[in-house]
Amino acid sequence: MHSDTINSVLVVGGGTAGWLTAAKLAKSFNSLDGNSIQVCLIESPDIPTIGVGEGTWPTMRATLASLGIDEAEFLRTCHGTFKQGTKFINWQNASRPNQYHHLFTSIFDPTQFNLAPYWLQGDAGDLPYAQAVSAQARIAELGLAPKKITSKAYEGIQNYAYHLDAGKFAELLKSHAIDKLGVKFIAANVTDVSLDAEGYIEAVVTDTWGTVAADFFVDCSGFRSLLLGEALGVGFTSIADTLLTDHAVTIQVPYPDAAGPINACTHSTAQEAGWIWDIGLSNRRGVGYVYSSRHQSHEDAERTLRDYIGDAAAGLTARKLKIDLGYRNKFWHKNCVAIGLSAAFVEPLEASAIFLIEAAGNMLVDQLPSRRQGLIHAEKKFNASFHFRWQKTVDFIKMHYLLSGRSEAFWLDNREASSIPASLAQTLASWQQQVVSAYDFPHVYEPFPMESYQYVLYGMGFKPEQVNWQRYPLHAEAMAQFEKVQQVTEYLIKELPQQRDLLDRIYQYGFSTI
Amino acid sequence: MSTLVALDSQKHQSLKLTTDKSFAHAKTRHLLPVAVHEFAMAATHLPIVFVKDGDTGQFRACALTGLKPEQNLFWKDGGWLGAYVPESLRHYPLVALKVSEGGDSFAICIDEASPLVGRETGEALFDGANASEFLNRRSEAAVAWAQKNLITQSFIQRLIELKLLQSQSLSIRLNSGAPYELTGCYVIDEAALNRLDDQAFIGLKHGGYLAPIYAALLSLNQVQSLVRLAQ
Repeated sequence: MHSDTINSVLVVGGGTAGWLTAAKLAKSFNSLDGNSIQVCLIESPDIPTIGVGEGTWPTMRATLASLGIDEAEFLRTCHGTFKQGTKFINWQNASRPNQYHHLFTSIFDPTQFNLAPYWLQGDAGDLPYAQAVSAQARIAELGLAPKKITSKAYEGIQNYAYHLDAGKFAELLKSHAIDKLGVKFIAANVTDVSLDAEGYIEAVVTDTWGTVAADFFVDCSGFRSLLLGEALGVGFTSIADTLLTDHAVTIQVPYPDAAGPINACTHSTAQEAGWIWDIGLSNRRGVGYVYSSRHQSHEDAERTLRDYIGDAAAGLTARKLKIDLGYRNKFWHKNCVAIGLSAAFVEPLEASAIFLIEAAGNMLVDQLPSRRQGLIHAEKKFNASFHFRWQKTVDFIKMHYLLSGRSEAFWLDNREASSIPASLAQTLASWQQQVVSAYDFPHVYEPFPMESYQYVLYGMGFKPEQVNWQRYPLHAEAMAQFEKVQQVTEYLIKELPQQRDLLDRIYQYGFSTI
Repeated sequence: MSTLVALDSQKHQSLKLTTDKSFAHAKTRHLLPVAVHEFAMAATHLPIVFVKDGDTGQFRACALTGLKPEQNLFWKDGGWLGAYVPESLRHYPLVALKVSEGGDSFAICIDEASPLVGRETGEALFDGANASEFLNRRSEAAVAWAQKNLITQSFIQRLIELKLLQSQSLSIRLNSGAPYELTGCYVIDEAALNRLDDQAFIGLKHGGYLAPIYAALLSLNQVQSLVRLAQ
């Protein structure tokens, strides 16, 4: 029944993962042409989409542009705002107020001339690292946008990502994928999965649409992992002994003033047994507490979140969910690949979820073979690549906890030697002697760039103890660059509009495509 | 712009308007809006460029009258130098604004802060409660100008759709001072125009867009006139 060629792809499950992947595939395959590879998506009509606020990485701009989505339309329909990084509050310790920024833009490229060793030697004076190397810390603090109304669509004066309403985002992708890119849509529940003699998926059986066959399957069914986990029996590796959070409680907070300012970066505030995210959409804030139920009761966790929100939390509904951190032992098996929660989940500390969906979609688009014999090799490459990316993502998130000096039980347990991946321990040890450099990031598909590590390490107060500082004698050059950063910062503060002001203008005028 | 208010026969009954042939209000403006109808006239005197409005990000067609912000090389020694006066200058301080998006009716607004507006000298705007003949004439002209602007907007929209606009910084090299780049200008991409398929090109012809397109292209030679004036 199966042809040797791969002519059809069936995506099981909607949401951000399903619709983003289906849209990418259809766009890349040119599925509007009936002779090309066809893409179909099955989504359950019974599972409601939940509009949580989520953060992306700057990669989302290229993704949306390549799909042919208008940036102004995206911002309007998804209550989107511009995200210029993350502000980490009270991560260093709980005894006195502290904060640092993990940003997307530096003024100078650190692989050309690395300012970090000079900052560590005090050449930037008292300035925090992020402010010394980037204009974006102050821009974000002032609630300014990364671009102007005269900027081209998807182009920024400063690098930026988005905050978006994931429910609305899935709706936008859905209508775009169906209307503009030629994705076929079936609203039905998958009740069974049928495999052929070699263990490849042949078809899925649905409650209202009969049997739907395809040559290749993408599992976007969420935590359940209907195809890869349940039907193909690929196991799950928990990382609960490395990252200790296991629950989240979320609340949507309306703005007291609908025309008031909007945060220009994600706020992440450390708490007794986890941390709280605070994401400013255009119409409300999305706030949630990711915590370890072994270190704090659910009741106390909800109270912690309500205390953080303050009086505005009165009368608002909290939603609790259990999260299982970990990943599948394989992401691609035979003719099925899992993307999104069905593949892996880590706590949303560095907004890796959507970013890794995009990355998986990109690799699938490029690597899906034309013929069935090619699957085995593609599977190997894909699994190696994404094991690497998830492992690095886990290490990077864990690093935030390792660098903290907080002393509650949750934080002490996070620094227990047995909970630290060997790869991370080795890297951090090497950074005691050697400042972070491009040689630490040899992989093309490194999920987090060198600059991200610098912002977090030096923001958290990591001090290399065994560096021979005489190796970094270019103090005058470094000071000139630090000075330049301050000049650019002052200039940009005058140039850039308030985030809310720019959004209002975008709703009215849109962005030019040139 | 903040002093722009709709004319009101009660409130503005005793106002008078003087006419200033020197167009002093343009003294510090290096960009003056031009309508597509006047491209051919303007092109032999002034470079026509497309710039994004700082408030809306929307493109406007403008005559370039200076080589840096706040500089108008065509305004010197108390008067307008050029042989061609862009129409936009002649309507000041009156502006016709659309009453509602998509509607056809316009409201006549006035810049109350303009030195041309007073109570002593000039021509009366109102004759009792009614608009004076002078005001009627000026209002009609202002509405006609607003309509030309709308046509100019559709012209620009078509250029954008056909990807015929490209960003181009103008290299300015004066005898005195270092060379610099005047940024933020967009011009018609001649190569892209020549690559258009026949159907799109004929579409431009039917829209009456070819003459202004070539006028705008040729007008760029006038950057040299600006440089001469600046020396």
